[in-house]
Amino acid sequence: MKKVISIFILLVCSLQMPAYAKQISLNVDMGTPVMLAQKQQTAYIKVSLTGFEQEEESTRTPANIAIVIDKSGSMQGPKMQQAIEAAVMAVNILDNNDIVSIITYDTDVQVIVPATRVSDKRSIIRTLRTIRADGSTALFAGVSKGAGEVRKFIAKNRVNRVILLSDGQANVGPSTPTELGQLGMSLGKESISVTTIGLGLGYNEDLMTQLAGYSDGNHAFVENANDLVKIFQYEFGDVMSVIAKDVNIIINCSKNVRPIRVLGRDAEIIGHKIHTKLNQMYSEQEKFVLVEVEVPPTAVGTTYDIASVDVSYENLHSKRKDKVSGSSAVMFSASDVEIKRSTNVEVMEKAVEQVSIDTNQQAIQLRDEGKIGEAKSLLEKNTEYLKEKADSFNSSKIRKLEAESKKDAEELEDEAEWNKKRKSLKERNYKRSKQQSY
Amino acid sequence: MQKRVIITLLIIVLIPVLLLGVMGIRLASNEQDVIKHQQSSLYLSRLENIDSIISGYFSELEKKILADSIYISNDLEKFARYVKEEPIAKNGIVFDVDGNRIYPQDGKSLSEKERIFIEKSRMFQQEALNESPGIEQQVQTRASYQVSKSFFKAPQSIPQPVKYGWYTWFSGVEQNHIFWWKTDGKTFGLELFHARLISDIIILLPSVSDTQQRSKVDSVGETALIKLIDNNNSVIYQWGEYIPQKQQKYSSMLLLNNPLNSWKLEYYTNPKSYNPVFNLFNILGVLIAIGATLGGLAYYLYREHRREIILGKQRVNFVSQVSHELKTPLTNIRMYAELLENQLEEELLHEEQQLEEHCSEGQAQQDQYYDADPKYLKHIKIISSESQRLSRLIANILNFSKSTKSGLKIHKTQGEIDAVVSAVISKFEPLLGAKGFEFDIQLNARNLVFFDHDALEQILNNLLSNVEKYAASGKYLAVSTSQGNEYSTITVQDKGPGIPASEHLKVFRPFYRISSKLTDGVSGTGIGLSIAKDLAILHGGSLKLVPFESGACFKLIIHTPVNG
Repeated sequence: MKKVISIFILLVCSLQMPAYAKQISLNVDMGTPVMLAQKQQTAYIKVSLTGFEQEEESTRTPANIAIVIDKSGSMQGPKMQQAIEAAVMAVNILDNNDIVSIITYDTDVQVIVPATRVSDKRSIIRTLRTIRADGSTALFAGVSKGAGEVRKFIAKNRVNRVILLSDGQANVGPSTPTELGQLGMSLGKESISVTTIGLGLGYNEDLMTQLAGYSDGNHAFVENANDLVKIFQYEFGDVMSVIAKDVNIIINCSKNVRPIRVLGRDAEIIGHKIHTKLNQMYSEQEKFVLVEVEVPPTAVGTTYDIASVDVSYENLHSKRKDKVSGSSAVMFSASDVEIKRSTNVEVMEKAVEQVSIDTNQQAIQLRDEGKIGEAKSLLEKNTEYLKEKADSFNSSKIRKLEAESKKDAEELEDEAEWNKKRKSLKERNYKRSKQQSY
Repeated sequence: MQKRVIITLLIIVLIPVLLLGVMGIRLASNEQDVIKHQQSSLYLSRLENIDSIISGYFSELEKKILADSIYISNDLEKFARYVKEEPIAKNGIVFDVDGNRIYPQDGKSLSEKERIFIEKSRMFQQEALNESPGIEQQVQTRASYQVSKSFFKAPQSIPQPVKYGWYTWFSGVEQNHIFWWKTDGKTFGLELFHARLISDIIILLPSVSDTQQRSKVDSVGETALIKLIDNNNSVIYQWGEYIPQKQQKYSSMLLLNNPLNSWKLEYYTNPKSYNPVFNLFNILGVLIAIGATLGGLAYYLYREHRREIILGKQRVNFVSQVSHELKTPLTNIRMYAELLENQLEEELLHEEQQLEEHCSEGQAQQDQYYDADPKYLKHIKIISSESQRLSRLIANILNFSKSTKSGLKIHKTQGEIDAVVSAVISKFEPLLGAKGFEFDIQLNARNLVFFDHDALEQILNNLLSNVEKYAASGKYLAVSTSQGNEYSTITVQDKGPGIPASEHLKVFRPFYRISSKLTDGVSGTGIGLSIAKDLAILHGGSLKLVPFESGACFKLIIHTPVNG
């Protein structure tokens, strides 16, 4: 009987997990696996996902890309030239399995290359070279048309993405960060990510980060047009290393454990349940969700389950829907030494970083409202916080953040450099919150 | 004279050209109105086409959601998942029969997003239990449009019966949409991403260089620009290559339907694209052609006319020249005839005296005076009177030719009117006497006044010669003269057939002759009365036909000042 059962188990195991099947690895770590007993306190859960290695270039997931290029009057000159070069480079990277469309926009929108297989690169490149900058910035319409082209060939086993390049304020059509954010949200639900690349100092970084953030795309601030090609290379590196899609993460906190917030990412918290979604996972890249929870006072010596995590995703390697699960628990102790010794510094570093980002975003908002003094003191407080944490965890990473924060506080008052500073801060915060690869 | 002809001809040419021009321009402007009307209806139909694309999108969307609603309406979990997964859905809300909210439930703690939504959609929640929430919303009124591009993979039939509609409201400038439907007493509301709706519509609308779209009807090309404008009057999307002027008004406008009410489409195009210049050129061309034809015709007529005039002038010249040539020999003839007449009269007188003195002197002596026969005297008198007549004729002709050249002049000298009148009458006396005329002469103008003797004589000559010619049947001539302060009046009256009233003015025209049986046999030049009248006018007076019981009565008034 035992034998039969064990064979059965083996069978089930082999069915469920074929030897060759690659899986996303899930780690659910607590910042403080051992916590102080009998005290209500906050704890950080880091739900981290790491993509498996993509085998070879030939087996990569085909891409379905819309490149949306701003060709408004402000793009004239080297900017336009570099943008075209970047797009040409991108087209050259892609191959026959990929689908590309190229949309340019100024006052109106031109679909200069409707969604097509990348077979005749030459003619696409020739069309690209005809772009001349002129007019206003109908960004919303450009993104919409881009999404429309992507949608023509939208498929589960493709990387569906709009890459938006803009150097200016949207001035034709919807142009608020909220509206673009909503469009991003809607596109994200369809697994269309929008990567936004802000060129120069004229674009609206709120709009660009919202659009990218809600659709789980990347965001980059390219001050110098000469860096565009490089950024496109990174972006297409990401595009080509997608190994999983539609990653739904559901974190169920245990009874009495109250989720407070999710750091850095947009997530829905209903009761004890947290839901968030990643549009895609990249090869060998780690993405994580940091959750701040409130843990009730608990007796010494008890082990308490904090949360269980269920992740479901489209595995692009095995071409099927996969699931991984994990959970975490804490122990309660009265010994400070034990608590400190067991602390997961790496998790805490990330948590501190995300908290710091949060504070930084608040400071930017205060600065926007003209409350420079308040913003500055907030950043200084953040520096203090970072210093304390750095000392407490003896972490060089946090020390770096501390130095950074100090610098941010100093540079906050520089009116002339603020526009640029704001853009780089937004970009930095975005990248760290989303663990962007570049 | 020449000027008048030219002006007349110009008028003949210009008036039709002008008339045609005015008519042409009016026609052209009418045509323009028609074209304008046609164009604006064309623009409108293009906009309607686009509106039907947008309406088609919403109707497809409705169909899709209603089709999905069958599977999600009976299970709140499914509805929740639908809200989460459907790209266009932002939030969902469900009420039971009693109007209690059953999704999202208050019992479970709400997510941030849900809380905001519930806060924002209070108005809808209040109206949700109504037959059809929404103020202007109508249930199921959207016409089913023929949609060329199917945006959603939706079934063609809508599950029936189901009540559904749109609820649109504003929070600040932000437009919010809830699509609601009612089944089994429950009311479902699905908040849709406004940005997504716009985005989808933009995708359906043509873009500038979309080659697949270009051939379509709704592509507008270079000549026009279409703008989609939202409730805040800002442009959402535009296409077309035409660049409107600043402040340019749209050529056509169309308001959109629910749920994008207060949105509109505007059509911009070059207001001059129907090219009135071209039309004006057309009209001008036609006018120039007509003008040229008429001008040619007028020129031809003018040349003919001039030739006639020159010919006439040549004739008059010829006649006057001839008359002039005749004048000298005629004067000689008259002179010698009169001389001979005088001589004969004297001889006859002498003979009679001798006869009386030497009653019987011998036959030979008698034979010697045989030459001075009274018969010869009679003959000579006829020669003399006929030559006088001829010289009057020639004077008439010469005067006439002078008058046409405006060379007629009056030379006033002192004299007695009656003397001239009686001299003329005496000249006609033998002629008229021979025809049995009865005379009634009353002369009362004996004052010495200044007047042109020749002119008066010629006028009277003409009047009396007319009496002789045409009124011989009356056998009566009355001439009376009178004198006023400055003017002298002479009336010449006969008892002939008279002149009909309708001819009273015409008889004074040159070459005019009354055509009747009476005048047919009589020769005449037709210039006598004309010259008489011209002379009378030149003399500061007039010559008129005055009504009289029988025959003709001419009244001549001339200016005869006492002091020259």
